[in-house]
Amino acid sequence: MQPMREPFGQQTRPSISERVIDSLDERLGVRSIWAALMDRHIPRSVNWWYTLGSATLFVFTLQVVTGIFLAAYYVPSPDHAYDSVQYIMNEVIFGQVVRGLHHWGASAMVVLVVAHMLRVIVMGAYKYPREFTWTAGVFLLLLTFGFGFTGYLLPWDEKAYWATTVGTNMAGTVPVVGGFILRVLRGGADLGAVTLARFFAFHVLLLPALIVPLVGLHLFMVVRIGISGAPDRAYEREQQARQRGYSGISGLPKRSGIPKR
Amino acid sequence: MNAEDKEEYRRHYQAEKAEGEPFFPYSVVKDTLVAMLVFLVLIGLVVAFGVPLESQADPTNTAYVPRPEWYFLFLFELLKYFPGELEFVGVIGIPTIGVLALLFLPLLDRSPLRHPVHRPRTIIVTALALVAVAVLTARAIQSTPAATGGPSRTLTAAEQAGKRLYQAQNCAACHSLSGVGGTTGPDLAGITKGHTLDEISAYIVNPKAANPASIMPAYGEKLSADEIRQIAQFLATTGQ
Ligand code: HEM
Repeated sequence: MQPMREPFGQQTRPSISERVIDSLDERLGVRSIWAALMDRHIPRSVNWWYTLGSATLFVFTLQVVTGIFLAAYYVPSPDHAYDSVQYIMNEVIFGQVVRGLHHWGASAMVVLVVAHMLRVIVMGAYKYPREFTWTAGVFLLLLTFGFGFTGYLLPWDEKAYWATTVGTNMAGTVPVVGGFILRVLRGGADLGAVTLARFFAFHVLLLPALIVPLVGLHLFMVVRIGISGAPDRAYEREQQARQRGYSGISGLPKRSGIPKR
Repeated sequence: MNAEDKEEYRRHYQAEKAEGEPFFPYSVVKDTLVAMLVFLVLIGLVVAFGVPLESQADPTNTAYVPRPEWYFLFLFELLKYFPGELEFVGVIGIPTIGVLALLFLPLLDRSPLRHPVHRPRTIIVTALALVAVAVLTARAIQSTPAATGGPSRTLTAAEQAGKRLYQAQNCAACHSLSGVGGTTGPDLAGITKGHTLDEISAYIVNPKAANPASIMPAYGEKLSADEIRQIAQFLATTGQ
């Protein structure tokens, strides 16, 4: 390629950012990744209801960021948990806002994930070829509830303690294995220091280790398969009519050959 | 869906996509706007309602009426319809059916049709499930007073004193209050429903008088009659 010339005879060199992108592209193919993620085509029927998934993703990211901030001050022991939360609220700069965002974000995440699921149900978007995207989604829903349940105990206030007492008691009513589940959840017969340590470990280690790869898989499938278009009633009626033509309406001889479009 | 339906879907989808618009910037703009809106709503909630922190957990405060997070209220309410032995039906049975139905939805609804008016069964069952959850949640809110940041009412001075004695004498080493505490002796929550305050006070003074087999220590020497009476008064606040 002929190098371009500046008016005063100086040769332009690619800008720094272009050169960085070029060298990354040469090695990693970043331009084709960008093309696969951003230039992919979306059916025109995709509408505002389709933003619910990405809104869930946004709140999830917010929970990760605010959660890391809270974990930097929080102490998971019955002696200090409550005080550390009070410290976050009263002493740490923006502590109240960050804890507030994490608190309301948890509710928002439940609302959004359920709304997202309802939009998928109403539009039949769980059907071929997106069945496994749906399955991953169901597990994401369960994990979201798991975060809510384990996070609720952590402030170690009255509400936390008693709601978790009742919640874990419920698990104890399961026939045969109930007692075992109860001991695993509580780490003992009663709610205590081990319970708090365990719920903290579930909330910040186990559940994130499960949900992060699962969100990744969910999004991979969404991009790979492509987002579904909103269902088209007229097209489906036509399709149904054609199929009836194939299988034969009772009494009439079966038609064969290529149906009219 | 049979092979033909799948083939037809792929063809139709490719056609839709070919006429479509690129993800960037069209979808990205919408997604960003909604994310910003969600963020503003969250900030609004923090500013308007703050974030609750009640008093520190107190394992002896069984007068506290527990109330789970709002999105678990429907489960909590469901339990009330399955008392005793049947409790696990509400705890595990019904939620498991719900989760399995969700997991296997793509197998339960296999027609190639996607528009909601062509899938009345799925839509109606979903709507009924939603209504059930909404009704259960509403009933749970009605029947459980909102958490107030302490016991459902403040204890009187005597009850407060009784509570401190209950803690100081370590009654919880042997006794539970609503399942929290020791198991050597009986659970004391709601004990005043079957016994008068005088009976309970007398029992604490000398357990063997009422029950020769009791291994509970007598407190008649250690505590004054007033103090013992206060413990009984505190017990009367539990297990409602
Ligand atoms: C952490 C939770 C979740 C995140 C972050 C998430 C994220 C997303 C995103 C960004 C999309 C792109 C399209 C859209 O937004 O509608 C999507 C699609 C999808 N999601 Fe989720 N999702 C989550 C949970 C769920 C749940 C609970 C279900 C159902 C049980 C589900 C089922 C699906 C399906 C089937 C698609 C494909 C829809 C289509 O192609 O039209 N997801 N998800």
